[in-house]
Amino acid sequence: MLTESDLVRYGRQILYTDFGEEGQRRLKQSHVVVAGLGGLGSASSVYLACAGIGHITVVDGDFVELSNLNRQILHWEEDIGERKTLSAVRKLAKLNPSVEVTPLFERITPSNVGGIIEGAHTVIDGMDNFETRFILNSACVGAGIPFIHAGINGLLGEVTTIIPRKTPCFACIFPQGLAEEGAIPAFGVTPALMAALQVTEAVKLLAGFGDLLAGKMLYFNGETMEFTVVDLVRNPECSVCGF
Amino acid sequence: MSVTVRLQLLLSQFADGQEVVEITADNNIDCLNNLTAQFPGLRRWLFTKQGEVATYVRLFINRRQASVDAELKDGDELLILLAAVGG
Ligand SMILES: [Zn+2]
Repeated sequence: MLTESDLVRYGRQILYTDFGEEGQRRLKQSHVVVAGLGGLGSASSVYLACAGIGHITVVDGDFVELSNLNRQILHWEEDIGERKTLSAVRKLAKLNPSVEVTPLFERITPSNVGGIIEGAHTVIDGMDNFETRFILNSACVGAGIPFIHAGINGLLGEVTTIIPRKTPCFACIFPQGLAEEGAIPAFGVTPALMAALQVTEAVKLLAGFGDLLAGKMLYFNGETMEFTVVDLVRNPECSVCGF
Repeated sequence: MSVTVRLQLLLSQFADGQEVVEITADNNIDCLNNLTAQFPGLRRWLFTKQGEVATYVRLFINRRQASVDAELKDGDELLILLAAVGG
């Protein structure tokens, strides 16, 4: 299953005792959806491709703009005006040609989300708004697909792994619906850090080792360099995952 | 009940820069009301114009997620965080 080239390319992570060749094989057989190719999705898709996830679907309905470039590392000056999905596929294919990358140039809606996540082993949150996260959360809970959430604001970030019917879901944490949004301050490093944590979660989840941020939210405060982990609580009356 | 309120950095600037404030309250909503009476600048971050606790506010008693009406005991720590929704 693993080729000679795989054994060389992934040699250093295969050395990790709890991971090994079996872990690498599992990653190779995995399909991960990266929902959104902004600051979070740029960084997570790079690390997913490096790690050797067999199939990555990248979803975004936007075009690259100059104002994206301080944080969306997958998109470069030459890509301005280009579809983010096309920009992403070009870079990821050069980075690791053995990974299959499927671009979906779409905005995620309640009517297309089912098809987008179908067959995925996990969905990585790269969204920049509440509304689409709710859509993804509901679809993932319905399909039983783990949803690895992250969000950022300036130098603040948060990450949690939602395992349908086992952990609180996004709607348990936000029972009341939408909050207002404007342009949110953002450095490049905060989504990069949170995306690296999301991929850490994805690798453990897919390869089957280590502990997850399941039922826990990790908060990062870049101004004080504090990481805080808190326990999340499932809402028995949750409109999405309640029984 | 005297509780220790720990404010996220973003919020502490509206509490004279204090990240930790001692508040007397019996439950979370009481605590938020007493807190914002002391620091009115916090009010628009924690409450909607209609006076409801804003949806992006998350409350944790002793680092465990808690509802708006959860009760507080002497010595509890109430951590107040705002959700980070950018990407
Ligand atoms: Zn739920």
